[in-house]
Amino acid sequence: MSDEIFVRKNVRKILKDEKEKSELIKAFIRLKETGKYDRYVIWHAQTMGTMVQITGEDTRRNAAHWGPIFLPWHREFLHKFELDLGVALPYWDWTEDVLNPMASPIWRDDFMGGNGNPANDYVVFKGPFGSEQLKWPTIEANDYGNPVGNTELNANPNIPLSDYTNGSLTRFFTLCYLEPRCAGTGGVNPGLPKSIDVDNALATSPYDSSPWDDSSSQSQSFRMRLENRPHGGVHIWVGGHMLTNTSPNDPLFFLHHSNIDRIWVEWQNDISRRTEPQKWYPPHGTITFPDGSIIHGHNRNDHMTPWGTNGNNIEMVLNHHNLKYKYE
Amino acid sequence: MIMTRQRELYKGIEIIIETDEMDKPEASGSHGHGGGGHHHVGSELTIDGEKIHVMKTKDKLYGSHYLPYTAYPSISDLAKNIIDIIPHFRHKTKTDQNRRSE
Ligand SMILES: [Cu+2]
Repeated sequence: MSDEIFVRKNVRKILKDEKEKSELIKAFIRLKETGKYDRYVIWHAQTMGTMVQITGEDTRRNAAHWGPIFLPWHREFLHKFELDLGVALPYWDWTEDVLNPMASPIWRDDFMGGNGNPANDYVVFKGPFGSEQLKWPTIEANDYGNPVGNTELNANPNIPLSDYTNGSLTRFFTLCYLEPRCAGTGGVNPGLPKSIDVDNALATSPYDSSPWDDSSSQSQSFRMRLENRPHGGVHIWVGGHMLTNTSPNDPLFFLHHSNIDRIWVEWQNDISRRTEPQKWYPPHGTITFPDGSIIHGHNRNDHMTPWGTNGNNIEMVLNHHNLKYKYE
Repeated sequence: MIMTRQRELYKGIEIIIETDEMDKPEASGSHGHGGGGHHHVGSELTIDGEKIHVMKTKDKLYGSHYLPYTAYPSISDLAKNIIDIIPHFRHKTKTDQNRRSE
């Protein structure tokens, strides 16, 4: 058991194997029924509400996004989730769906279901996570990341979340190109990210650069180049819950982030750095605010919010082989 | 500090934006109040009575924890998107048809 390694496969391959596909779906539903799934949604929303900044800094950097920790945090998040799920997380390589996103096999009625229904609040109807099955009540979070209607979660992290799961999964695909809502940051939405977007990220080094946030130079920060366009672009394209602080409400979140993590592995395995882990992340103590003080929570030996010492620190997740999974 | 207060209704929901004069787009340089935690950068947004933290980017766009993957050219745009997308606001809108709460 302890030697078992999760093999993360292309989701297209899973879809060709009825048994693997239904085991994956069953595992998601099981995790939802135990209430553990919603804990992951709330953890994610809480990191969003935890800003990491100094006075006067115009930034969106938080405890898991828009800073160097983005990739390690989501690697740890998926690792914990995969252990709870008990099944390897497949990855969704969206570059294969660029030409005709709607035709992607992932939207099949027996898998992710499709777009939300514009006549019903963009609720997804079909599929195991659709409203017709009544098996996928979503949880919504407020500005601070607590379940809507619950202000005591911070004081007692063990409060059961089942009372707060009363929503439905929503999606709002970006099928338009010129309407205002299609414009993400900086202009018109260019659709799902393409291979060239991934290649451009893979060709970028170092891992990250000052000011270590959402304004780090795209040409000098692999992390920013990956986080902004390919990563954010998929969240924006799918829309609905994927656009929000509770994006893990959509199981697609995990398939998307499995792919983002796979791209990070590919970057780490580049011949120029595969045997030089010091290049995988800046040295501890070098990630600093403009005034020279340390950006706590984003440095190499720092533990991660909200797990602290109940989870790995950043250094411990840099080599994904330590986490007992691999990509096929 | 001079504050301007702007109130508008969107789909029946009240948006209040209180802007520090320093935070107007034409003002330059960095500024703000407090540090570290959950502090605003000169503007306050309230939607339907709920105070919402507004973040400003170095490109002079506005973001919210609610919509972490996008940023918008004005706080008013941000507020309208929050109302359209975040379920507990969306469900209160007056113009949408077929709402679950009805
Ligand atoms: Cu995230």
